[in-house]
Amino acid sequence: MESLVAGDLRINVDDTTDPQAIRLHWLGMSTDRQPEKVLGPFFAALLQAVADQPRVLELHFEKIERFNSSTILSIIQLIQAARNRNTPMVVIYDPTRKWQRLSFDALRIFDKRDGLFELRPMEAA
Amino acid sequence: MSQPEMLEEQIRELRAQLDAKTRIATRAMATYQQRALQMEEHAAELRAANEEIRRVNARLSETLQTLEERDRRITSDLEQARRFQQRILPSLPASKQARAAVLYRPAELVGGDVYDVWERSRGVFRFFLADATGHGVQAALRTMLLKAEYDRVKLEALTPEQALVSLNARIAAAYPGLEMQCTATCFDLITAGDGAARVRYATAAHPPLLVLHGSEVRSIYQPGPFIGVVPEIELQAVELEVAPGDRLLAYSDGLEDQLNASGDEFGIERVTAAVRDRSLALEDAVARLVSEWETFLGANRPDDDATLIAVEHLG
Repeated sequence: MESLVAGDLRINVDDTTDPQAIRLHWLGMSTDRQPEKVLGPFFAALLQAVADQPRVLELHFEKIERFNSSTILSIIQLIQAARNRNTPMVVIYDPTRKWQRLSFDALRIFDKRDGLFELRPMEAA
Repeated sequence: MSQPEMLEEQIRELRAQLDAKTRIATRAMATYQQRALQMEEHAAELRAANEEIRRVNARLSETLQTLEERDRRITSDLEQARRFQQRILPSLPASKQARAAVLYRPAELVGGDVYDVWERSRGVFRFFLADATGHGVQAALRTMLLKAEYDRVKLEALTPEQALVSLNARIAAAYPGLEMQCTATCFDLITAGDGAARVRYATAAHPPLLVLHGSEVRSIYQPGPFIGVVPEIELQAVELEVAPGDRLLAYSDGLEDQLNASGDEFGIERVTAAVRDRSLALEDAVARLVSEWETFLGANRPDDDATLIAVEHLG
């Protein structure tokens, strides 16, 4: 799986360090007005890549500088698509950064303690 | 050699020279004629090229006129959309118990923020602010739908959290594709008429409510889900007492997140510093904030819509 570079956003894909997980490290900024045009196909390819493997998707946002509300919409779509495919997913974020706390607190609704989605503050990662 | 023979020899030489010069002149004439012909051809080509350039220029001019006309129409439509959007925003209450002032700055002609102010009953004011996903026309259309949906639910909802929960249920049911996802905050200022008042506040993934009490700034934050993502949500309200003179600030993230040319963020401290100055009436304090915000941004265009609702409890 190739990493993604789109404008100021970079998502590094690490699928070798941990055989149990595919790690996506989000870097830079996601401020495109229509990030779904790039993220949609990327996430679709990602879900396809893990379709036949019992691997967790780990999304690391600790180092991303900022993203806009359109980006969080794409992330929600990924969470929903992963859940529909029974693909477990973990989101790791930095709660000490106000904008991250605000954005990711809003995703807590998807954390149903069923092993399919976990929202993990950085300290506990 | 006799003299006649010498003369004949000279004549032969002169003729030979004349022949040679005639040949040179003839060749030169032929070359000249050839060049003249070529120049004639080039001139014809240039005339044809000029004609083509004239035709292309004419086409470009027509295209430019068409584009300018389209641009005028789009700008005119956007101006109309802006007027529509302004029209759905309420006038602010004029009351002895509370006053409000608003900063509303879409990043473009129209934007994705929308608010409402409503005196539910005598001395009870409800404030609502939502920030729809995206910017520009598509976000503005969302705000119109959001406002229409909110106007339907607000009459029935006894509390701010009920208003947001009902709004969410309507949005999630009517627009299941997440296209109406937004953050929102809603709070009631409930005045008792004797100077006492309390605030009941609920939020759905929206930035905190700020309470300015004297020189103190309290940030009231409650985690909450987005509006329009799942059909059923639960929200916890927060209640707090406020005193006369206290100011409440609800804002969208575009207000504090704007960057200037140096990459510095405007930040919420600048907002509170401007609005907590009690020597200025609330409206004047917000006007000063607008001025400071614009000065801070300088030539940088805002990349997000910015809204602030400032409320003062008068007593």
